[in-house]
Amino acid sequence: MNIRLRAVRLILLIIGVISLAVAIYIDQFEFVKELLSKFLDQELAGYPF
Amino acid sequence: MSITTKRRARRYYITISRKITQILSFIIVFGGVLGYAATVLVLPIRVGLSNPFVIVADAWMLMEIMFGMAMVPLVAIASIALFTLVLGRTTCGWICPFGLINDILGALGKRKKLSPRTTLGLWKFALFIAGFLLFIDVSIYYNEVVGSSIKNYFGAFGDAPTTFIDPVTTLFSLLFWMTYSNKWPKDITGWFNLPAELYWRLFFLAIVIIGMLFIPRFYCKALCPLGAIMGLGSEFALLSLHISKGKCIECKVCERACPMDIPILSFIDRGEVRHPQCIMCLKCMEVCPTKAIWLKFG
Repeated sequence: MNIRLRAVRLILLIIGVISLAVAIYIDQFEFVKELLSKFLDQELAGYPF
Repeated sequence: MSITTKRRARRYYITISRKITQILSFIIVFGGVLGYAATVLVLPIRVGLSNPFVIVADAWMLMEIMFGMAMVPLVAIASIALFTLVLGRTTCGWICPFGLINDILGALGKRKKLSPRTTLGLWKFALFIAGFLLFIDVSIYYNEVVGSSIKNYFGAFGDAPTTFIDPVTTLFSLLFWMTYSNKWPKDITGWFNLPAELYWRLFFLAIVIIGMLFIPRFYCKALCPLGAIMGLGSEFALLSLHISKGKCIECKVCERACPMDIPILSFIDRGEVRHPQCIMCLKCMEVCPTKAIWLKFG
């Protein structure tokens, strides 16, 4: 159990840190801010445009 | 304040703190109402992205929308992985705006206790839904990248397939925009001209609301794809609940208080309460008469 626990934690840490580092490097956070600032119709299935 | 009220307040300090946190988080997430601009925060919570007042991104919908735009949603993946690693599903119990709605409706309705097998079965069902949706999302992403879009096969739900069975975006995005832009029909004939997708989504929202009235945290237990994915890793989170075999008198008060119907006493030999449905609401810790349950980090 202990090995499994540590292995899963390590996998989550590696995925999280690498994704975060690359996201910062390619400035994806600014894209998120931009996305939240504009009208998004992706979630509006059924909306009578 | 009378002595009885003081004692009750001291006893329920965790619930009170959690409620205050949930309400404050709700206000912060919808910070646009107070005039705050969009932030770069991406949290594993369910709120959608289409509401103009939302200033914090919902990791699941962000992931889905970015896959649809042929982009790898690294911020969403990082947010889900790191929050799960450190806090498990704590964000579901303390921050999620739809979790607050689940709690409110659960308090209004009649509570039905689920068996441990059903609780785990519902999580597996939610995990199946999450896996299926992720498979569709990744397929859409791949086909967008290679230049043969398959979005049309999913009709109006092609941009975000989760919205087909998602009461969160129906409530916070679709219903908001219908009301905000005054799109509701003015006469009876107008109701027949509305898109079929709208009726399906309203019907599904009604089903989930009825479910939430009878089963506490029904959406979180049985349908939330984000919660199900986080449940996979939350069993290994750094923050966890511990239970002492020596102190426990097996009164089952904790199991009765648990909104997620987790069989807490079955973890007594292991010493740690690690369950994919645990949202760290800490109700078990609060109601335990012998203080046999405590929180540990690490």
